[in-house]
Amino acid sequence: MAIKRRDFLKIGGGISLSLPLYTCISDKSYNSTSRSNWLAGVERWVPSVCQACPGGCGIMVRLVDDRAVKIEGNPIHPLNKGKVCPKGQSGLQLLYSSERIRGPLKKVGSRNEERWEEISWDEALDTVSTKLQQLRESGQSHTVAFAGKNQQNTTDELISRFLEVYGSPHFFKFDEWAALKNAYFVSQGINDIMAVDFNNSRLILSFGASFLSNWPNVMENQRIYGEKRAGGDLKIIQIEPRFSIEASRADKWIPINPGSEGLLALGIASVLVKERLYNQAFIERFTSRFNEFRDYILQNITLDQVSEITGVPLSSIIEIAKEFNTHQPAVAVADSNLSYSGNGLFDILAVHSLNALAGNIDSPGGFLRRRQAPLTDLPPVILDSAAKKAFSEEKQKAVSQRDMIDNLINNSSQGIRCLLLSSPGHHFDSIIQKKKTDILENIPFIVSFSPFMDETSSLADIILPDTTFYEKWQDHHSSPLSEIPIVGISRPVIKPLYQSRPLESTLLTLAKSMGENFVQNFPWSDYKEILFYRIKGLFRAKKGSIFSSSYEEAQLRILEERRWWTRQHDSEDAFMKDILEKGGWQDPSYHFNERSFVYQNKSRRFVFTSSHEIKDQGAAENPENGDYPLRLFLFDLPFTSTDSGSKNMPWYQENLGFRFGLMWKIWVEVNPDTAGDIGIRDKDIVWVESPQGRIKAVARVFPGIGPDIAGIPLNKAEHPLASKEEAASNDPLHLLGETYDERTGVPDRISTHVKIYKARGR
Amino acid sequence: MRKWGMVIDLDRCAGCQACVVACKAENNVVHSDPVQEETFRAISWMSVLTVMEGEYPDVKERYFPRPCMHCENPPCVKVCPVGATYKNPEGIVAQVYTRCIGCRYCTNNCPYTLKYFNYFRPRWTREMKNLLNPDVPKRQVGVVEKCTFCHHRLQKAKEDARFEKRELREKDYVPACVQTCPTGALIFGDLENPKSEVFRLSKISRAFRLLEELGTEPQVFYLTEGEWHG
Ligand code: SF4
Ligand code: SF4
Ligand code: SF4
Repeated sequence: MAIKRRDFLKIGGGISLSLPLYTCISDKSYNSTSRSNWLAGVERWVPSVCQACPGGCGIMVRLVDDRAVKIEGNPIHPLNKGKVCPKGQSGLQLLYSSERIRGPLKKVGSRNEERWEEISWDEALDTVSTKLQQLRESGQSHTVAFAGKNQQNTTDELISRFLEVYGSPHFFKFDEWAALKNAYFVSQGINDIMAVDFNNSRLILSFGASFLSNWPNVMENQRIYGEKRAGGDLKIIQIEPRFSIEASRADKWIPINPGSEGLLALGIASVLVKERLYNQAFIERFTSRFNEFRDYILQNITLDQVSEITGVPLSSIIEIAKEFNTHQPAVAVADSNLSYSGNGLFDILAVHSLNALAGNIDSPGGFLRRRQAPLTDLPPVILDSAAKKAFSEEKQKAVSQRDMIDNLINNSSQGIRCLLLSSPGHHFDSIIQKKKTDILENIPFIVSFSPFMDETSSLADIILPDTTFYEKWQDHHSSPLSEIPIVGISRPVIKPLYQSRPLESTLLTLAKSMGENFVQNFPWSDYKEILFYRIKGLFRAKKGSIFSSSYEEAQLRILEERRWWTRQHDSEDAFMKDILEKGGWQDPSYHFNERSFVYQNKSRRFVFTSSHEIKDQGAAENPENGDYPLRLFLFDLPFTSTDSGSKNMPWYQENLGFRFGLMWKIWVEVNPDTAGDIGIRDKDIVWVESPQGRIKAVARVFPGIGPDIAGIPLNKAEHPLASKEEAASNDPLHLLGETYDERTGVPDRISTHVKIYKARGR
Repeated sequence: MRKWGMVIDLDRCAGCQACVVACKAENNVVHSDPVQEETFRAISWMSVLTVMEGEYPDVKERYFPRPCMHCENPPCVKVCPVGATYKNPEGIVAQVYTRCIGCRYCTNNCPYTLKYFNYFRPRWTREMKNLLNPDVPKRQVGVVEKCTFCHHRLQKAKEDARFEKRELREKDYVPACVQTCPTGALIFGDLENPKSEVFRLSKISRAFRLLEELGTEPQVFYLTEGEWHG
């Protein structure tokens, strides 16, 4: 076993072999060789893709014999260009976590307890497949649901296909970015998110957007930030209740009352409209309902009122509007954290209307829409009569995230009888926090694929443990937040540990056990075969190229934008060999003015929304309650929301509190004046209590948060070993009341009120 | 002879912590736990310090990545009774764990508090022992450790160069933190080479060093605009 190797290594002897090594240090030496003669063991570097967040950065994993020992960035991956974020750097702790589930488990005893018995894969698969077949034979296939994250890979296709062949419409994909998608759908008719061309903008007007710490394309944004700060022309204004990382990097931080971001955007819009500081030509050609929008604003928005509700001084509002106008191209950026307020769609639409006023949609330095990579589609599904019947009946189909959640927690005749769970992520976890008993009561059979013991797996009757992404084949498509389509090829760095199996193999095995129709629809022997089938589409498409040096990439872009393209590989085999070696494919060119791609609504225009159509802003807040004088503001730490796995990365977790001098403690941020008022001193151990519950935290007196607000981070681990956490009892989510965002169903994080008082002792 | 040094551009740093974690992963530094936190005994060769100024709402914050300064005139070296820490000819202040007797004189004499004593036996779980880097020795309880500029990487790079029968190029050697820094805030190279980026940057007007007045002559230079000097 590899562990023993260490003792041998300590002595310092060993062999050395010459194997290809990607040194990652300079692009020239991409393909070089290591020949150290004091290094014990055989060293190899394997190109793969980090999927510790939805970003999909290219990585090179250093192996010594069969142990993975270090992760570096793939220098020719266009997203991260050789760099890796701290979560990616901690990745091997996820792989080698002691919290991994070793093999299939069956729950014994009551469903509320977590007592497990090890079972064989055969038994586990048999149980699940029998259950699925029974339901299907009794015409209940629509009561089976699969809940997972919205992922950018072929696993999603595989799951959809499985459900379709089976006869269930219920693939619940929890999406961190659902609120943003909704907004682009309303304004431009696209069910997608837009990329922001930070490279060419001169001003980022950010409404709480965590573009430097929490976006999937953070590595690209940080690179641009670094370059522009070293002499470039970029201004950042961060509007946010809390002095976040972005606020600390901005030229200006504008604190704002939580939940009033949309109103401020309308205030800014009103200045632009009144002074006619908008892009007339764009508005005429590419937008509709501008007049209604203008009239609405002129009649309903008064700056005094905006200033009062948002807490932003009148002069600042005018100044921001002027700067936005003079620093073109400028982008007004929102992200989905605005949707944790119960009214997110309004806020995001209001912010995006500024981009339309400036005419910065589908233009350099503005908002762009990423093309899909030309992967081969899987062949169409052939439905058998049972599946056809299931789909022909009026079976309720979950359309919004809100519906999905209702479906899961409310028992109805349409209720879910069997739930398959694959790391649905933080949104789902936060629902479980509050609704665990309902879920267990309503859904008689739950299967989890989680590789770790966590919130989700605790629900399960059977666990079929997945591997981590380091142990399987995968394709990863870049986030639509960056305009370049990228397909990263993720390959197993080591063999699956213990008895874990990739979810994809498990699904294929299940499919093959479920009858003729399934076998016909899943002709592939393994998941890798499916991936290769799809990837070959990249060879046939007459665009893009396998990752290459920045120089070649620039050349290609110029050529392609003039619609020239030359083939670089003679055969499919040569192409496949090369793509595996380099780590993926990209298309660096962007084609402007494909109107029907950017606007997919009937009018092919940006549609202004006058806010009264959504909801009256600012009215809901401030329930006067003397017992709970502070307003709770829960925020995400970088990349903790995107994957429940972050609690299994102690290197990552211990650094999240670096601004507050804390490693393994949850803190609450309090404004100095407020702290004085409520008699709390810096570093006191306190209880934070709402009508729903209380948690323990370290008080940090922080000038970066407004008066009467209590800021608390989510997903902060309190122990390096997740199993040693008393997390369930000390999770800030327990403080929240029962209000949810109307469309995404996500708990409202900003309208709970709390009180803070000293805890006795330490 | 080369003199390896680092330039840290504070105007670029986004406080992301990638450098901190990269260092731990490269150099087998075990993660901390709540007990180490309570007793201030956690080890981190590279840390990002923060400096906050001002009052609500006019606050400013600066992130200060801080490795060992690899002082040209290192106070830590002077006090070591057994020569466990020394300045090597290429400018790196090194630590020999097998020589260290754990007296902690150096720890107390470093004005930047960049030496770390192993109060605890490094606690790796059985599974996590898999990710240990074989190029870097594991430490025992009772020895002092510190940032080495990933010295083992230099050794490796030299051997590669020798094997290829060529001179070592400056870019062949880069510490783990520098390699991963997403904003390009960390820059590494030969401070004696007039053609190198660090040579140039260490001489521009934005450059300063920490506690310059002590005469330790850090080989880590900071860059920043405006009033943050010193
Ligand atoms: S940004 Fe995301 S994908 Fe990239 S290294 Fe970090 S966790 Fe991995
Ligand atoms: S910074 Fe401290 S540990 Fe580093 S060389 Fe100087 S005195 Fe020694
Ligand atoms: S990796 Fe770079 S940007 Fe991130 S904290 Fe370190 S120095 Fe700053």
